[in-house]
Amino acid sequence: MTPKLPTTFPRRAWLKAALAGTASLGVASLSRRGVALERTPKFLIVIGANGGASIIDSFLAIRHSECNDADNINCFPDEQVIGFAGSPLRAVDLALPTTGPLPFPLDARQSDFVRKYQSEMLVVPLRHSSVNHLVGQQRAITGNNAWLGRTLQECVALEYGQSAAMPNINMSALGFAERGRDQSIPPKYVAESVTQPKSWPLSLHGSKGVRGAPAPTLIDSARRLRNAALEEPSAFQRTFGGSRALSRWREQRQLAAELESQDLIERLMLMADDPVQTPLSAFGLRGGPDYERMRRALPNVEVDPMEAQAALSFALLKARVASTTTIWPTDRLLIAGETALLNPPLAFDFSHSIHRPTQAAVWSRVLRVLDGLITLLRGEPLDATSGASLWDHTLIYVATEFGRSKNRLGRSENFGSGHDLNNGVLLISPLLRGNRVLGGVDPHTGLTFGVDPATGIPDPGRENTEGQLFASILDTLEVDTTGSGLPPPLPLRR
Amino acid sequence: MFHNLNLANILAAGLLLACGNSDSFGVDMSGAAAPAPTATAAFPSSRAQVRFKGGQRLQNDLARALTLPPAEVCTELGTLQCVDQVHTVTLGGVDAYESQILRPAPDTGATTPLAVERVVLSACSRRSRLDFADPARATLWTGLSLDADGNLDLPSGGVPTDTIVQLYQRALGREPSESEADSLVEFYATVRGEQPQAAAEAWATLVCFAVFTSTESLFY
Repeated sequence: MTPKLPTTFPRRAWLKAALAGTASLGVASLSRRGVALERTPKFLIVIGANGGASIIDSFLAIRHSECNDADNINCFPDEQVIGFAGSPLRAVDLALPTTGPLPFPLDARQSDFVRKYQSEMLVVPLRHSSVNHLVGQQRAITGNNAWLGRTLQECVALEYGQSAAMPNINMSALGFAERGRDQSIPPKYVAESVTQPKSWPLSLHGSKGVRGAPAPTLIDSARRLRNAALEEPSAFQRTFGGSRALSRWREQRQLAAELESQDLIERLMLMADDPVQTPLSAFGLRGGPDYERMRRALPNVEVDPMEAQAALSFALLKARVASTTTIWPTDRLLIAGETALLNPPLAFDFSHSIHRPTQAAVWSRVLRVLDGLITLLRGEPLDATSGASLWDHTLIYVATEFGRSKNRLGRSENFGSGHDLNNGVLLISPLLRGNRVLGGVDPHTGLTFGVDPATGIPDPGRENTEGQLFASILDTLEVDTTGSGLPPPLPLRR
Repeated sequence: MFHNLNLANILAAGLLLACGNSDSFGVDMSGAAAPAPTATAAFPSSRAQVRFKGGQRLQNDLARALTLPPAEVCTELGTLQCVDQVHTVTLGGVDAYESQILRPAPDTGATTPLAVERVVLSACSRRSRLDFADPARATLWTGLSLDADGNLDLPSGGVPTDTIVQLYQRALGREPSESEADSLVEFYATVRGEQPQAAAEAWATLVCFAVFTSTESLFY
């Protein structure tokens, strides 16, 4: 474990002292970012749990016996809600012959995950600010524009990603993939979209695997010829060379050289060498070095796009290519082998049609993927000396745009739900003081509540806000928020 | 109406005058290829705004210029279409059904230059391979004499420039300047120095690659 800074010495004062120290040694003064390069990195993984992942259908589930209006409030038969000794967290385990109208059996067990990770799980009850999908998703990652409209991912990339080639990788879509509104963020730290995690590594080299390509040294010669002898003196360049697009293109070409030099096309390769489907070796390529290990942790990586995203996330963090990744279940109906449901249409939003099985199915999938991803991160050393793992310095934020409505009729198990601002989100990390809920839930209404920010004591009269959550996540990851105007963080940190 | 007609006449006259200017970069109504622009005649644009042509246009332009079916312009691992499957979003496309990417990215991405190079290299390599394997049916690399090692047979020295002119006409709609042509001709010696055999085909692929991945080819 890396040594923890003494809490009585303000972090920013420590950094200033470090700067003063280096200056006194005659070292050229380092910028704040220069000091950051020496810090132990921290990583953020955002799960875009699209459609409204309901916290009372998971870790704050309510039992029938606890609710004085069980007929009309979304609560569960007692035996389906699993509690854990010494923990305010809960889990929903349920099995159904079909997933609502979808003719696939459902066996959803959240308890396995909670039992394994409860000490690192923290639930933050939350009042969202929009019932619109895209707006809510965007606000879930910007804290409702808490800091100039920057996304969490941009903040983390800016803080820790200076030596990373592509610090901010986003494999999701819609509101979770929107860039922030702060146009001063350099392009490098804005989300780089990746839609095909298995084949995307092919775009990390300009010639490897291309049939008939000349030798790399000749290709480099051709590039130099192009840049110096064809482009530079051309009328086109002289006329338009100052354009933003061409300036960006030149910078991206320089980055391309860096990507090639790291051989990322093979280090991040998620495809197996299959002579029929993906004949890598026939094209001079090899599978990634961690492919078998990833398949053990994420056995559906070939068919489940979210597992493929998780596998690529691990590979990117391990290779220090990225500081933050964003993944999501997708919006598509996904069926594996014609017999198993991977994802209902619209993910959590299929709750409009049939709430309970949808929530169970998608939560189950999200937790299964997270289990595989955390397993990989736990098994990977952060460096050669500290004894810490990548997981020790990672925070996972299961973001969602809003909750679901709390009502039903006649104790029905087959009901639909609408969008609701009241909800909660899940954070998972060894950096957190876990096994807690920053607030609670009223069992008679299904409504969650927050804490008194000054004391951290649950207060039924308060609701935690998106801005508070945003500030708290950045605080946990020790991102410098000086001058941001963010609200004081909630007490998340260990 | 009268004023509009007068304005139309003035604009038409101006257009004709512009077309008649041999130093212009404009449309030559005679049907011949545009002359090479002179760098000294170019001024920095005060509103320099260009856009990346995108994957579909790139594929279509390469298909037309190199006389290839679009589906044969570029595949990854032999079967996956580069533009329509693998690098769609990277090359500025959308993917609404599979990935819920509903709008193209406003800017080129970090891996866009590499994806472009893969597409162009694949197309140029294929054209070279076809032309050198069957010179009688060659469409771009024509009239080249090769020795037994697959190198250019240059009895009087120098690489024939006709093919370079044709390459520029197909890629950029103009003729190369003297310096551009000279640079590509001289590049053969570089290729020959590193590759003792089959240097001609490699050179053809590489100059095709250099021209088609130039910013003048990729942006408009």
